[in-house]
Amino acid sequence: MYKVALYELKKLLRDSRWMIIFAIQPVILVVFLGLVALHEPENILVGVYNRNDNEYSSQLVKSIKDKSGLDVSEFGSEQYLRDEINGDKLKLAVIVDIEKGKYIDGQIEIIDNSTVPEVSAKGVEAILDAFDDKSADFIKENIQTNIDSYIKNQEIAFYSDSEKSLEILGTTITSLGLPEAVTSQLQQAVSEVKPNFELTSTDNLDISRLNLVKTKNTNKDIRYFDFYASAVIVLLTILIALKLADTAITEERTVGTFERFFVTPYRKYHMILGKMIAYTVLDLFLATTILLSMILLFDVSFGPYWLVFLIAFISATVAASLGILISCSTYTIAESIQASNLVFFSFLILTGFLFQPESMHPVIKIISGFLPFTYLINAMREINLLNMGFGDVWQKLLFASCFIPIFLFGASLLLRRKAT
Amino acid sequence: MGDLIIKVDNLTKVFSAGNVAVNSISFEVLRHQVFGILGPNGSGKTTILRMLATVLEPSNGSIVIDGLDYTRDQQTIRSNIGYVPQRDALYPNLTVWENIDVFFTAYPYNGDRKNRIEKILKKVDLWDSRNTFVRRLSGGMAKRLSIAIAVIHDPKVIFFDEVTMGLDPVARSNIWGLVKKLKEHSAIVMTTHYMDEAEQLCDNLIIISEGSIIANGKPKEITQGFKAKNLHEVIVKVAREGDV
Repeated sequence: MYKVALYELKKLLRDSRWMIIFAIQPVILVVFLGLVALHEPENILVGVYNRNDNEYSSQLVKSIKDKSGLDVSEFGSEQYLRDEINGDKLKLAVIVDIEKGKYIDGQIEIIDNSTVPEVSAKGVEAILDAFDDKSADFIKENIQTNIDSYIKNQEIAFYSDSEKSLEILGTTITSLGLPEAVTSQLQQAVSEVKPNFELTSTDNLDISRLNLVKTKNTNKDIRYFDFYASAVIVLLTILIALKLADTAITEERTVGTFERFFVTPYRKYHMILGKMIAYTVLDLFLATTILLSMILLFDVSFGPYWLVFLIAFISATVAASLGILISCSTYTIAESIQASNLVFFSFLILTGFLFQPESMHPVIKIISGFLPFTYLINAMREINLLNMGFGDVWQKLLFASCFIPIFLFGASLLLRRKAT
Repeated sequence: MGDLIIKVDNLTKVFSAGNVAVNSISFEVLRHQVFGILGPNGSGKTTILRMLATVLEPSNGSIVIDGLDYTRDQQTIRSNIGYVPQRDALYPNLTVWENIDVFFTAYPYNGDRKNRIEKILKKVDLWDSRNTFVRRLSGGMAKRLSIAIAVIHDPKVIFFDEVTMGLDPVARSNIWGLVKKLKEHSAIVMTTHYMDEAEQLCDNLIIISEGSIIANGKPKEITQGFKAKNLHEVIVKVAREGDV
């Protein structure tokens, strides 16, 4: 088996064109993803209405208008502003209604959330219509920064029991009677763009007032791309490792070496495990390349490197074993490629990377819960975004790793040594 | 002539579509004999050879190779046979030496493996090219390497499937020389489309048409039996009768 693995590696590595493509594709894909995802949004259309025109609210409006990346227009009519946001002509409508002394009297100590409604009965109402995560994230980041800054300037401080439960007050996001599904989507969007925040509503599911409560000890340096980078690492390794292995056996069938191989006393496991060992070595390289590209090119904020590498490596190895399974169950290279495309895109859809679990059909949600890659993506996110450690994710990694022998055993069952 | 090494009884192959490729054929092959399987295209030659080489599962009948039953002792049979497929079936990115080594590893061998590889490479005149990548070999060299792989473990039976197909006369002549040498140690079962090759090499042969044996014997006996000048005429007659 050692010789089979060794020569399999030699075969692959000596194909210089193949080697170049294999080596540069993770880097190229990471570069593309990084350049696409790291670029901040521009000219997001924002409308502002100053309901209570005074020195303080004007300061806030001015600071919003000065914010780069936002194309801010001040409206003279609240109704007109609401019509514009409802007509999808704006991404965000901000209604400012602040008076010093009326709501804010020096320092207010928040003991618990029940006092929040009184404090924020007025304030800033932000109607968000940006359902793409990135714009939503950008808007929220900017508007909240402005509001935080404003509150600080006015020497208004809200204290809570600890830093971890700081209330961001005076900010409300209104769904404006949107359907429940859209409301739910909004809630999800907020939790997605602010993964370190737990979204709560004081009026049960009514999100006319939302408090973002910081609940976990998070990595404070994360950016938009960092959040997706976790899933991207897993998905890229899966894609490349799967495509690497999906024609491993069918190529031998096509060339004729498969037939020659099985006229010898070699057994099926020699071929399957020999190839698996070779691909495992390549997976080490693959995981390293993707990780280094992310770190060196885009300075992605990761958890412990060894753990991130381990998850990437497990992802690649699971994908390689799946690729071999596909290759054993198909007869031609074209079949293998079609089958692996089907499998990869099914995983892409089902792992919750593109679509949130909340919007999934219940049956699909259950299926998603059994996919190894769902666990690997979640583990990667927990490591990178929530500062969790090996002790927190080892069960997920073990579950995903169990699929390697399962896939290889399946491959052994499906590999037909003889033609019929 | 030696004793019996292959005994085939009522061998049948029916493919899934119901197509009977081989229809209850029986024959015997002796040690140190070159045994030919001839016939027009689609007659079932390669199917028979592939069943003998354990590549293809027979639908019915029995195969005994060197006293070992095909169904019970397949793994042992594999240690005792060599197979030269129609296509070269080599790894282009491995060297000549590595191609032999990867297949040789499959076989139990008590002696010095390197010496064995060296001996075989010299025998097929590829020793000087041992470090050459297979993708750079000529057709004749690739075929000789293919044969070297098949005989590296000193098998008792070697199966050649149209081994000289597509080779120039010089390369073919070299292969013929090799076959004659190999016959000293092993029985050889070969299919071929070249009748001169069959006449030159085969001690015994069968002619297949539509999956059945229509002639069995020495080349001269078969030629006389069909009242033909040579095997070429025999095959043409068989093919025409098949068409009718």
